[in-house]
Amino acid sequence: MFTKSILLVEDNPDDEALALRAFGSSNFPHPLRVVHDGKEAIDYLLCTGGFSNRNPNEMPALIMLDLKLPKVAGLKVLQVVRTHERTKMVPVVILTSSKEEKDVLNAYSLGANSYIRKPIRFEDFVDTIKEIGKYWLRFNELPQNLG
Amino acid sequence: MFDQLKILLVEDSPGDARLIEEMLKESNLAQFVIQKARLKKEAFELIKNNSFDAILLDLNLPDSYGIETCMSFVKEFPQIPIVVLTGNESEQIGEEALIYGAQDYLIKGQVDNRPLSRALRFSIERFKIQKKLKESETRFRTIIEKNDDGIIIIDKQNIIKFVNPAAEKLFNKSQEKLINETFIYPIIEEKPYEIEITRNHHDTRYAEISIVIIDWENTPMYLLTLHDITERKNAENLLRESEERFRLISENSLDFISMISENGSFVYASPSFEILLGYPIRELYKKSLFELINEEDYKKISNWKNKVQEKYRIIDSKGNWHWMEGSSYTILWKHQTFIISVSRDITERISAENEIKKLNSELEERVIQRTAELEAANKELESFSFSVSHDLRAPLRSIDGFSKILMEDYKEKLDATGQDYLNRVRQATLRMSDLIDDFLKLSRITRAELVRTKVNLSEIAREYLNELKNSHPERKVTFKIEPNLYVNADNQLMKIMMENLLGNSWKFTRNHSEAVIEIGSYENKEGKIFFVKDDGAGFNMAYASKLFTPFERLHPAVEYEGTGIGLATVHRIVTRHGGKIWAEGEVEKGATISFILP
Repeated sequence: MFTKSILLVEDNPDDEALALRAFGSSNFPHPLRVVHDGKEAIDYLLCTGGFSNRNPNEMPALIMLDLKLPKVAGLKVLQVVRTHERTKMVPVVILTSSKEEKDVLNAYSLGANSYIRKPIRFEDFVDTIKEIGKYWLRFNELPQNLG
Repeated sequence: MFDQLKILLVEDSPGDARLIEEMLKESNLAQFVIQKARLKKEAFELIKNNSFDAILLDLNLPDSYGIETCMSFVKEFPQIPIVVLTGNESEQIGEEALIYGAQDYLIKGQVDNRPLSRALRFSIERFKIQKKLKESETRFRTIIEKNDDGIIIIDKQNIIKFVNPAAEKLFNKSQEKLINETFIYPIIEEKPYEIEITRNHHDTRYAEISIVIIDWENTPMYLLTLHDITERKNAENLLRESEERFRLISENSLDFISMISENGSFVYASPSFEILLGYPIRELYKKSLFELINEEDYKKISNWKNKVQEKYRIIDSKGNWHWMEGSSYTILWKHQTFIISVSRDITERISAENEIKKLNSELEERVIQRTAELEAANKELESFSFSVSHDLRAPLRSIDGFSKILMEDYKEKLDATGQDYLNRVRQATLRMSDLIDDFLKLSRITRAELVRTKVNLSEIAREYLNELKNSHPERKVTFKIEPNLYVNADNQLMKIMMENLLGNSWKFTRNHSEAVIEIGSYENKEGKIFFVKDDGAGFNMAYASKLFTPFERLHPAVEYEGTGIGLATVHRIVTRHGGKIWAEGEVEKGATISFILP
């Protein structure tokens, strides 16, 4: 089942801090889980490695995925997510600095649900984070079962 | 048996006539048959109707007198011998008659039977001999005069004694001029020889002379027969000259000219072969061309019977191969088949061609290598762009984010100046973010693949300007757009280019209450030139060269915002299409950007 939580995959501590502040300042009511590289993200989702004790039946309602990640790149994480039966339906929003056409294309062709470029201006950044959270956790409907 | 001789006796005196008749009848030398005439007229009639062996003529007739009588008979009847009868006192007339053609004369009264008949008889015989002689002479004269060969008789002192008309013609001089002149040409008795007769500067005749020694008027003389061989000689000369000409051409030709028999043996080889092959020509004549030709090539050209143009290799005395190119064809000469071949040494050309081929393949390799290098460079640039867009932006976000957080969380601790400083930090951050974005745009244009289609610049301009107008309805800007400005270019890049150009015009006319933006074209010798013209802020032509440099700006940021990448982008788009772009302007009068797209 999907839980009303978000998995943020972000290696940059500044961005992590800014994102947390953005969620905090908008009084975001849902839990936010942060992992710091691609491998950790996969382990978390597939309940492997350091996350083998996690309940595999609980899936975040949204993955916010950076592309440039240590160990396993963001697009690779996306590919793995879309390949596995349990994770294939989890909404993935790419949240990155790049707006390279190539990256956008690759992300969508691998099954990203959205592609957002992190704004530089902090006010914009906060707005963006809020909107994403609101849209995917409040408005968006997900199936009951993981499939 | 006596000969019967018919005599006409012309005598007006019946007594004399009878006497003479009696005398002749008694003759035992011949049997004389006599007819008589008293008058010349009568005699003429008789002669015309009868044939006589002789005429016995009294000169004094009633209708003719004296020597005149003799002359008229000789003239009228030259074929009949005449014996004249004269009076006693007229021996002188008799002598005169002999001069005029009478055979003999007899003096009346002194004649007797025997002398009369003997005189007649001898006259007849002599006349016959004379006639034969005359005929013979005429015959020989004709032979000599009508002879095509010149006949000259000279004495042992080389003085010309006789020439025939052919000789006159040959020397182009009359016999009067030639006779008694010295024959100036050599005299060789043993065998025929040729002489050259120069008649004048441009007229030379050739004659072949044969000489015999003859007896001429009891003196040994040379009889020269001159056969005109000018025509033959000229023909020979022409032939020789022509042959010489061909020989010169062939012998001096750098090409290799040969005539070979069907089995390949040389009948002729031009001297150029000697240099090429290193054999003396005489050695070459012992060889067959076919044994000198590369076996493989020989197969190609073995059907030399047809006219062919071929390349083949030929080996020289040192064993080096020479590339030859030539044509050959078969001829029939003296009932045998020969091959004529004209070739040239193309060894150098072939090696040059090979060199070019080698260079080409090297060039190809180099192009492949360069392309690979370029591709690598492009990849590098791409990853660089990725890195720039990602890595440079992230810190900016931190700077801006934490500045903002600082301003919020430490509001009380920061005075107005502190707040202002942080605002400046944030402004600079955003500006840097814009710069990075524009920089990436520019690099994308450089890397983007060109897809040329027919693009209507007028349409792009109209759409974009309308967009601008809608977002700024307060501005009074007139658009002049020449319709159907077609170019063969990348649609996406054309859009970016036009938006940059028109965006500039829109921006720099902002401070004018009314403005005109014009898009048009004209032709000149370089081709079709497009332009975007405005009457806005313009620029100082002294800085025109800076316009197209990335991040160069001619206006202060406070007056006109921008990163200075717009015209650099346009410039790159135009040059990527192989075109040319330039700008003209004047401060506060406007700017015109012109470009050509091939």
